[in-house]
Amino acid sequence: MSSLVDVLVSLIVVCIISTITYFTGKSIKRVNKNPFASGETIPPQRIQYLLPWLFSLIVFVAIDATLLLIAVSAPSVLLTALACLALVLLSFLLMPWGET
Amino acid sequence: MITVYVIIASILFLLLSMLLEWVDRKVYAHVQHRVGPFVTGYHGILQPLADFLKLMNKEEVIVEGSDEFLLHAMPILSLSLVLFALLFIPITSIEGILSLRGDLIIILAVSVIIHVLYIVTGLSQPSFFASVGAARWGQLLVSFEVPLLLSVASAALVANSITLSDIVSFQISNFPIGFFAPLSLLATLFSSLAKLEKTPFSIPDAETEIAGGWLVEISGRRLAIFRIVTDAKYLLLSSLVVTLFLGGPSGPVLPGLEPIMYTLWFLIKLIIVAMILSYIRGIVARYRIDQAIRLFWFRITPLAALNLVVLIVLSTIGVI
Repeated sequence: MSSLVDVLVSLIVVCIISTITYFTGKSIKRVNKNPFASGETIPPQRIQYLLPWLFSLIVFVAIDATLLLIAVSAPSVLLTALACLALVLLSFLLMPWGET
Repeated sequence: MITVYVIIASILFLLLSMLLEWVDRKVYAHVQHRVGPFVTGYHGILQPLADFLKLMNKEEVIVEGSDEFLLHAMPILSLSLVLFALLFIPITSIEGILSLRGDLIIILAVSVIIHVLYIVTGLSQPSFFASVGAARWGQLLVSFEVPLLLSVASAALVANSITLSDIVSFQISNFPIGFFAPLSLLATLFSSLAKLEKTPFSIPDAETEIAGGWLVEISGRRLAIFRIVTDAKYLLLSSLVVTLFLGGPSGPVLPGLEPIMYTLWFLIKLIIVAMILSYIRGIVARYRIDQAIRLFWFRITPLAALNLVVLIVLSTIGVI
C-alpha cells in the first residue's frame, strides 16, 4: 500500500507533466468573430449555466459510487446493498421518459 | 523515488495509449475492408504520434467570447486525472505503482470527473454545436454510469473488496470474475464504448449531425491533448475490464520472471479487449441520443442489476 504522501506527490507530478506537455505546443492564436455554423453566420452565444450544479453532479456521482461499492463489498451490510440497488431502480423509474 | 517511477510510467502510458489508438484504427479499418494507417512506421504504428505532433504544432483558433481560462485548464486537468488514475492499475505485479485501500472508488470518481470537464469545455465555447454536444454528454453520462457502477459493484462483491490488488489476488487464487459475472462484463464493455465516445455512442461529437459537438471549436494543442486523453481513457477502461473481470496480470509465469510475464499477460488481455471494443465500433451504426439512453436504461442496466442480484443471492447462501 502507498502512503498518502506518495499519492499526493504523484498527483502533483502528473499535473506538472500534463502542464509541460500542453505548453510545449504552439500557442499562435487566431480569433474568429463567429463560431462554425455550416455556412451560416450566427453570432457567438453562450449558454448560461451554474458551475455549482456541475460540482454537485460530481459529488452526487462520487458518493453514489462510493456507497454502492462499499455496501456490496462487505457482506455484513447486505441490507444497505439492497437499499442502494432499490434507489438505483427507483431513479430508473422516476426518469422523465417522455422528454428524451 | 516515486517521482521517477511516476514520470517513467506517465511517458509509457502515453506511448501505450497511442499504440492502442493504432490497434483501434487498424481493426476499425480492416472491418471496413480498408488498410488503415500504413505509411508512418511499420504498418503505420507511428501514425498516432505523428498526428499528435502535427496538432501540437498547428495554430489555435478560438471564437470571440470563449472562456479562455477554462479552455486552457480543461485539457491539462483531464490529462492529469487520466494519468493519475492509470497509476493505480496493476500491470507488472498485483499492485499498481500506487495502491490504496478502496482505490477502485478513486478510479471511478476520476473517470466521472473527466466527463464533467468535457461538459464544462463544451459549455465554455460560444457555439450552439458545442452546447448541444455538452448537453448530450450530460444525458449520456447519467445513462452509462449506472450500469458501469452496478457491474463494478458485482466484481467488488465477488472479491469482497474495493481494492484492486485484493480483486486481482482473488482472481489469481480462484477464477477470473468474468466467469461469475458475464452480464456485468458485457455491461462494462458497452459502458466503456459510451465513455470513449466510440460508435455506436459517438453522440456528443457526432461529426455528421453537430459537426464535432463539444470539440467543434477546439483546435491545435488543445485538440491534441483531448485526443491523447481519449486514448489514455481507452487504455484506462480496457485495463479496468482486464483487472476486474479477466484476472488482471495473472497467468502462467516462469519462476524469476514474474514482472515480465505479468506485464506480457496484461498486454495480451488488454489488446484483446481493445480489439473487441474496436470491432463493435466497426459493425454498429451510431444511435440517436434517445435510443442510446433507452438502451442503457432498459437493456443494459437491468442486465447488470440482474447479475448483481444473482451474485448477492449466491453470496448470501455461501456459494461464492
